[in-house]
Amino acid sequence: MKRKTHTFTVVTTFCLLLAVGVWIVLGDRKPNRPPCQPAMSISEPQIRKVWKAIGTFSKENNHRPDTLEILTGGGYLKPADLFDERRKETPALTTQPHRFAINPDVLYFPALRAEDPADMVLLCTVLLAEDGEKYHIIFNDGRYAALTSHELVMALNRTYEYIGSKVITAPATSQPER
Amino acid sequence: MTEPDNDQESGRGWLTQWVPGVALWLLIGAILLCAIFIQPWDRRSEMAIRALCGANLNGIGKGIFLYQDEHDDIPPPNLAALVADGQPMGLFRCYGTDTPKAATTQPADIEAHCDYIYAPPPADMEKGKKLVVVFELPANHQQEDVNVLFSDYHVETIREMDRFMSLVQELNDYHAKLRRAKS
Repeated sequence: MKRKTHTFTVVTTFCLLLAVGVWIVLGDRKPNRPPCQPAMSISEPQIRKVWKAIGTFSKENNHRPDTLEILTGGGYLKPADLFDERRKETPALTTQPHRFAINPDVLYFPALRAEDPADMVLLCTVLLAEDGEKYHIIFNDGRYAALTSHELVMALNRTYEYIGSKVITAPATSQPER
Repeated sequence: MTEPDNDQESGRGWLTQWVPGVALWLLIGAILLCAIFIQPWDRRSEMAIRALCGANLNGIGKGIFLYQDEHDDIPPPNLAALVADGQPMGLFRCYGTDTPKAATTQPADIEAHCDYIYAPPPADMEKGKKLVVVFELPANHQQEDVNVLFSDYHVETIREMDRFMSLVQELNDYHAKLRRAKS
């Protein structure tokens, strides 16, 4: 009787441990990748603000700004609007060239013009501030969208292909914007 | 009178008493070792993924070079053009993502199953200028680093995200400059 109890305990423990081992190994084989490290990126309200500033600048100057730094110099935006709010201090502007010490936490496509297709990416974030977040995009017509990695890659490839067609193969026949 | 223990009589008593215990401890040890080594193994597989991703960009760079060589220095308009030129479709998928492989060689299908972002390098680029040509989203590698192919066909793994952002913005600014010049 005593031996039976002992065997039962051993077999049960063995099965339990085997199950734990299988669970660990199979759990690891699943696409269970570690989360993304948080990175610096501007938020949705910030990217909308940048778009508004580009719009105001365009109305007043009849063309889009060459760089985002121009917007801060002209008072259309505060420098902090171009950087992640978690940055302890806003990077300083250098004079030659007129740039921030580090790039703003948003990418800008100054090659695009207002008359270009609406689904081109004008502003976008390429880093995720938090794991599981989406990328913030402003399309050429001012539409905001939150895209997944896959959608962003497609949108950026579309945009670069279009810009490439304008700067590489297209003859210089288009009308200047300004 | 009690019945004699058959195992003890046959000399197998210690076997039945100790072997299950030893097997149990061996099993516990094996599981512990598994648990200890799984994490480094996972880390090594991550590094392999990054290396394979860099190799993909190298392959894409060679494909672009060959395409330009055959097309009077005009770069391919998109990555799908490289497949039409004979490059394997597997080059366009980073193992760090779960993007499935394109089922057909149709450009739309390839673009929908691609993990890399391609900016055609200007054919008439300033001498000595080095621009980003192909890059990926840093999320492919947990935003720890990112692989980039430059216009001189070298591949670099960039760990500083601020530098990565500057490189891509420099590319965008150069496009704007070229477009202004072409107008």
